[in-house]
Amino acid sequence: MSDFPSSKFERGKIFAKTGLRVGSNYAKHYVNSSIGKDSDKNELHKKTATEVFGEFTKLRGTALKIAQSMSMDQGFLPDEFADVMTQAQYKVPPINKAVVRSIIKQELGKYPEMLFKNFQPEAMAAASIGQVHRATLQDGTAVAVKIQYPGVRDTISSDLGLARTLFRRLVKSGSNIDSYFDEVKETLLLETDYLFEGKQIEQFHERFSGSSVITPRWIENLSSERVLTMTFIDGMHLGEYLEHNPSQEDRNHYGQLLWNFFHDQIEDNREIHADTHPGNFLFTPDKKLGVIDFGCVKKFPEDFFYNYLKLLPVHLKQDEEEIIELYKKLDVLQKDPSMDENEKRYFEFCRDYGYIFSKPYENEKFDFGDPGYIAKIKGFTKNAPLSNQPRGNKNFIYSTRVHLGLYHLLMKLEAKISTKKSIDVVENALNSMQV
Amino acid sequence: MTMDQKTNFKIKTSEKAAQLYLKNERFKIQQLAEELETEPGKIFESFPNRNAILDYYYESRLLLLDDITQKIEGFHKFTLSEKLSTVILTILDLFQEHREFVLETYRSRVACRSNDRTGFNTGIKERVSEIFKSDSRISTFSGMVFQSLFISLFTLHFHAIVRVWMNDKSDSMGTTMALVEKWTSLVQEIFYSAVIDKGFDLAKFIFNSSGFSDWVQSENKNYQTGENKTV
Repeated sequence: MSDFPSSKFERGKIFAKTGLRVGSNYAKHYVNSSIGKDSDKNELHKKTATEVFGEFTKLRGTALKIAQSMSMDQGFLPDEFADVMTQAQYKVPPINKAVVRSIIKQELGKYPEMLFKNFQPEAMAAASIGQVHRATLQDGTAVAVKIQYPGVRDTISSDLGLARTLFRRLVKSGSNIDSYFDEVKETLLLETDYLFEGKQIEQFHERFSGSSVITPRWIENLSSERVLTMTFIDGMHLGEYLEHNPSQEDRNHYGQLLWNFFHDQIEDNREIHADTHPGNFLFTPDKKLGVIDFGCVKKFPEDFFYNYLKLLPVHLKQDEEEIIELYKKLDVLQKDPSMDENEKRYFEFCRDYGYIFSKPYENEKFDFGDPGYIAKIKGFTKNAPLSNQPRGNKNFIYSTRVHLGLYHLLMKLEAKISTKKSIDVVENALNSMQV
Repeated sequence: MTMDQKTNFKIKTSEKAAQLYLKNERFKIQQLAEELETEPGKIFESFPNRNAILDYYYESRLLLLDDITQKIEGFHKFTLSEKLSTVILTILDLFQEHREFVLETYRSRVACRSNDRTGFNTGIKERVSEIFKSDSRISTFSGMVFQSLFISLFTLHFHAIVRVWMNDKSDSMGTTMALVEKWTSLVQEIFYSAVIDKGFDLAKFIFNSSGFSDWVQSENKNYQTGENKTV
């Protein structure tokens, strides 16, 4: 049980406290190092990450979403940090059971014991925006009931307002950060609309039913804007699955399902499940891929999606002129890289990253467990040209989240994937778009 | 526990009376009987007058609370904070169903009356007292020193929360929920904290093991012997 800080003041205080702790931990480390005292950097990262995680879980909402993204984009943070942050996927303190009951009463008109044959008061999972309880319908169907934390919608606006103010001080004056923040805010607010998510659940079920992907069904009469009831999918999350030491063949199987799910969505050219983190995928006992949580679903603007997909064949061809042209269209480059040293730095980084990213499509099979490949991906993220000037189309925020998330999952699985038809899928999707 | 027919009738009567009250504060029992499709005599069998019916609205919320909490699976395993929150939030949920009536009458019929004059105030205290009695996690010292004080002040705290609820304009009662959660969490921290118990334990240990206890005993003995000598 924990109380949820919903006021701007309380949340601002937690942000400031976290910043101070991180600052003082690192300052202490550098002072110790400079006077020749032993100071273990790995321990320092772990300690700092645990403290940051502890504070962010109190905040839930936006702050926890950031923690989730950081854990997903492995390589961006030190390994010790990413490991602790991965907990953000699963281990958030749940809210008071009485509050849960009261929310259900207000949203659905009755208390859970009157609506369900059985309702487990202990949350089975608690995440950034809401927590999930297991329940059974009167007809015996097992369901998952997602309850939104009270006041979380308001905290999104206040947290992002706070973050926007901080970023304005960090970025180069005149840089437009508003479009990025508006994109994140719009998406996060949509994630708090559980009726929208219910509709997405049904759409994805319609698209993928009968395949090797399982998605839940929406139980509309037991759902509202803040309570979402859906059928329960049994399975293991990535972390739990790997603890069972699965065989290479088994890992390849689930990896292939993930890879195919991603490409099937490209082929459809419809909404894309844009929350590719380990907490949203289940490996089911009947060897299927369970996909849950449809709050963050994106339909990218066609011109962006076309150019984004085009990055793949263009990088495979290694045609620099075409790459530059595409980067300009996607707002990654502002000038010709040959004319400006800073632009050249950006160009070279993105081009090489693109080459690495397109690698799995070069041959018929690809081994995501290749340590050399994992090290390269991590190295690129760590060596990103840090600049106080935001770059790239705002839609990169979620397209990259999907793509990086997928690669991260496959690298964790160390899966060998058949990528034979994938480039054709992308080419077909490009041909079907009228841009 | 399922409520008997008579109690059900009384609850239904008080809820209908709450609705009528909003249209006419001085409604007649005849009108109420018509709304309930019954005879006035049947109402008088249960209530002496209109005031008693309206007071019963509040008392009956506690009966409904009992009925609801008994149906909660694993309620006995809830923490102190969760049990107290359940009591408060369930009553507020029930109030929400007749919000206008509660806004109009809570102050005069409940909050501003002395505790022994309303069944609601005494009833809520009894329930809170029961929660404390049945919770084995409460530390000895906090239980001894603060429990009776807390229970006797509980109605005051509850009235304050109802006041916040009355003015709560947030989505789905968010502010009230946050207040209840924070307040009950604080109460739990106080009552579950074993700091003072452990302090006593340490003091007792030091007293017994440091020789201080022997010294006190021998001093007592000397004193008594000396006293006897004097006598």
